[in-house]
Amino acid sequence: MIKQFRLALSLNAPSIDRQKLVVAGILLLAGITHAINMLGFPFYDNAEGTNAASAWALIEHGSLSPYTYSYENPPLGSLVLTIWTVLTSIVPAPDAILSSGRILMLIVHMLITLTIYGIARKLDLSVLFSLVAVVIFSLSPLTIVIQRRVLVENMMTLGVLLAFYLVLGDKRSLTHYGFSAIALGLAFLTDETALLFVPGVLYIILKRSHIWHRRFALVTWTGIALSLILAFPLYAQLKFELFPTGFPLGGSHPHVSLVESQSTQHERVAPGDMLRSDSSFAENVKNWLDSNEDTSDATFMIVGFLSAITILVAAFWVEWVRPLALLLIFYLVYLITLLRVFDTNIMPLLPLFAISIGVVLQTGALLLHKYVTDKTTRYGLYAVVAIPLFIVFTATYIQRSEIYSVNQVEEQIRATDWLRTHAEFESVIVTDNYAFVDLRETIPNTHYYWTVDNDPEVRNEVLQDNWCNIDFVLTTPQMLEDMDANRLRLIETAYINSTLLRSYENNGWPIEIREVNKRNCNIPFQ
Amino acid sequence: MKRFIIFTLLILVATGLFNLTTVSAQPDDRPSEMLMSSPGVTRAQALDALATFGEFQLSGQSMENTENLSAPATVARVSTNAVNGANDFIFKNHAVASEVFILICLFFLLPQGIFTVYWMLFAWNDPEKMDEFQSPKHYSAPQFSFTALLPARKEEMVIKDTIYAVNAIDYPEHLKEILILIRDDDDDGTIAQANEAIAELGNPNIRLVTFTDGPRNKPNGLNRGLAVTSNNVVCIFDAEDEPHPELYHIVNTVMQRDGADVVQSGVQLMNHDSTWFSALNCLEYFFWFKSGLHFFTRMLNVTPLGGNTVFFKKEWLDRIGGWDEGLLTEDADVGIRMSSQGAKIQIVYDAQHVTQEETPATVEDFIKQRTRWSQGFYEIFAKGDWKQLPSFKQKLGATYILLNPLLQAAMILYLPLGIFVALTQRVTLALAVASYIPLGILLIEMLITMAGILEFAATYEKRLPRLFLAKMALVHYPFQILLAVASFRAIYRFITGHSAWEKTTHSNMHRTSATVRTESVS
Repeated sequence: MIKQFRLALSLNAPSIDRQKLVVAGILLLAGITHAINMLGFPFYDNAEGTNAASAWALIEHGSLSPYTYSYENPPLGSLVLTIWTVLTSIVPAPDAILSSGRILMLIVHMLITLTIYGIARKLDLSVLFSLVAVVIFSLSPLTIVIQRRVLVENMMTLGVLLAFYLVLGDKRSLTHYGFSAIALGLAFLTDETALLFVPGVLYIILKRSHIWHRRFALVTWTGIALSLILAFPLYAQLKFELFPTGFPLGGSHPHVSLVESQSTQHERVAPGDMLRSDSSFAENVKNWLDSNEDTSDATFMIVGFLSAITILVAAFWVEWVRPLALLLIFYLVYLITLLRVFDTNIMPLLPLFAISIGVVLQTGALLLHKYVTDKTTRYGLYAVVAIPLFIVFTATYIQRSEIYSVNQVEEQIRATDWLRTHAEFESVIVTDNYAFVDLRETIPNTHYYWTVDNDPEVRNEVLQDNWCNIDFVLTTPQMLEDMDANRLRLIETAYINSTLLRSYENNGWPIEIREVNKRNCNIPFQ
Repeated sequence: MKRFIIFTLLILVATGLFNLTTVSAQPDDRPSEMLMSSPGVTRAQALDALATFGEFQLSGQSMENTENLSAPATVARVSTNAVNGANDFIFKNHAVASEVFILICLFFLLPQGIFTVYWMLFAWNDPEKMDEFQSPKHYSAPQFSFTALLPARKEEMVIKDTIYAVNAIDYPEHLKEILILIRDDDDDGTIAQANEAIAELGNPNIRLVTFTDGPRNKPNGLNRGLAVTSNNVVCIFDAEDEPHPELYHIVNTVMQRDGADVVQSGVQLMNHDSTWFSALNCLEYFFWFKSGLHFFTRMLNVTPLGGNTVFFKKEWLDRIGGWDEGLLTEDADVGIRMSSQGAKIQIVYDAQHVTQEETPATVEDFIKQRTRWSQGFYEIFAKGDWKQLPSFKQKLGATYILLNPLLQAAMILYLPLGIFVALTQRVTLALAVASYIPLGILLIEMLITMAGILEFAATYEKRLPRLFLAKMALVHYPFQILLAVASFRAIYRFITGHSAWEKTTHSNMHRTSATVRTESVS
């Protein structure tokens, strides 16, 4: 056992056969942890529904959104999901976009896990500690919940990690740098926050590329990445939607704008409010640490965050951790200063946290190896660190066994089916986005609750700014929270004036189907 | 030069203005576009109301203003729809044509652009292989005998220095020979300068070969030289060349070590700051000789040889019958013919050993030189010897090389045209975005060129003036326009049968004061 441990600790590369075995093991682990019950847990959430709706709109209408495309995310994620849906429709696979999308996320997750191993190895982590990073990441309930969901953050994270992996290590050719730039460019076209990882990747090229081709490596990477990144604003400008109305090149007609949408989405918190306990970031930290929340893993978050801080401090003196530190610092600062944080925003940090844990543990082990000469004491100290960590992580993961057993999707589908069967073709339905595609295919006047108040076309033209034109409301806890927090007055009034038709407990994510009561329609709207 | 800049600016301004005016009339921008999708308005109603729309037009109402008219709002809406319907027909047809245009251009320009970027960077791709692209460090014992062919015409300014430079090549005297090849009908100045050099040097291995018959071009002179030499290896230097003293040793080593039948050594333009385009011209040579030729030779097994500092085993020149006197780029033709016959061609580029040359002094000279090369390539393509290359890959490579001037010109022409079409025609949005890909490739090429000038400066220990990179970025596209002009001029001359040799003037700009013999002697 000790011999094997020492072998694993050695920095030598394993033999090709062992390497293959390790890779197969990683894929198996990532595949199993992700795949078991992935179509049953977690529930289909609103963001997944939005992505599915975009894919549906592309397939059915060739447009990027069923409504006005508002530039909240670049379009590549939807495009990938669309292509995947079309491809899987010709082979036996779940026909719903969301369940099909979850299979795509399984592949994404396996690739991310493999890339984490690759990056860890290239950062000179031993096989053992690279595997520690992989296991922590792959078994984390937080990772599993976010990664099972059909989210652009997952695809973006894969792109960023690939870009990082390709520039790391010796014997890098310009081809590697070119593909890295493509990976990062595509990651950006999936989710614009990929931009925050550019300094880290450029730093590696600047410091680690061979002097023989450094200049060309830098310009090739920059040129390719820039060309891809600029496609997004170019797309917007071709539609005359880059700048807001009234700005130079923005025109005078009212329209959505990329600049406006992105500024709102990435709005910064005021410096004084950054550390307030009720800030959006602080609220999400509480969620990530609260074991009652689906998107939580206190152990991983705490150990990962502490490891990341260690890396950031060490980066002042230790050059080889600087690339990792640069990847961490920009995104961490971005997240802390973001005005509106979502729980899935943590995703790109999770692989970096896992790698940081591996780096810190290996460095600790090497330091002990160097300074503690007595073998018994040394292995004793190894045990003192490893056993508690093992117990804490295992306890956390066992505690969250519901991710492998509980079904939160079945009743969501039953609710949608019920409404599809019982509502009339002309009915106007307002729903959480998870049900949008299924309902819209049968009942054309189905609308996403967010657009009812915020899209002038839906509010004024379809509903004529009158809640009485709504017939049914399908609610989820997310929808109720948004109604309350964002003062969505039209849908809120419809909700207040509705009666419950059906409710589904749905293992902690209750769904209600309500019929809007029209008898108060003559009362002037407040 | 001034005329060229004014012409370029005028084209750019005109294109820009045209874009701006037509963009404002883009169909998507009109309220009628929105109304078209309004429920309850049929095309028949729209057509019925066409006359009403005419009244609005006559009364000076803009289409936007019809939005605010309350009384005849319905009529106005229907009217705009009617016009939109008519426009729809026109635009739909335009859309198909525009989309086909963009797709065809992308089909050719996208692979061409990626391919160009790839060969430009080929030598730098893998640091593990960097030694493979450099000259040998240790030399073999002299085995091959060399004859340097020095064709010259109206080169009295430079020929003497060049004879001295070639004579200074370090190699056993009995294994080297210089033949100066001059047409003896209207070039007394060059002949006098050559005789003066021969007399001053007093070397019996330097001979002047004059002739009066045959075409008035370089291959004719080269064939004269080939006919009178019996050495193992024949090489060519241009009248302004400054070969490195160790060049014969390098070639002798490569021919022995690798069994090469032909060795192309590097040629480099050096005067990067003498004109606005000279840096980009220098970089063309830099990328071509240091990287491109390696790529074509190794990856595609087809080599368009350069016009000088190229070394042939004489038996191979005899086997293919020497140079084709009917072509303007006999050098590239020889390379392709030898590739098709299986000659082993080796490329050697080392900054230390390159033959130094100068850029054309004026835009006019540059265009003439580039026209000659492009026309020569088209001639070779039309001649069709490349079809005898054994593999499809080689044929494809030869096609790319020979038609590259045309493809590059098409790329330059496409940029304003493609942008114009994407902005003004109703093409699919995805295709409109895709139509900008060549612009992205041009951006990448520009960045590579800027890195290239830094590499060039570091390699040859040149100092770059302040803001040089900014200047290069500014002139990058105008330089591409120069190439495009030359390319299209070449097509015109090729089609109309103009094949007279347009000589490039040389003025010793590439030689520093220390290396110009005439100055040091006097």
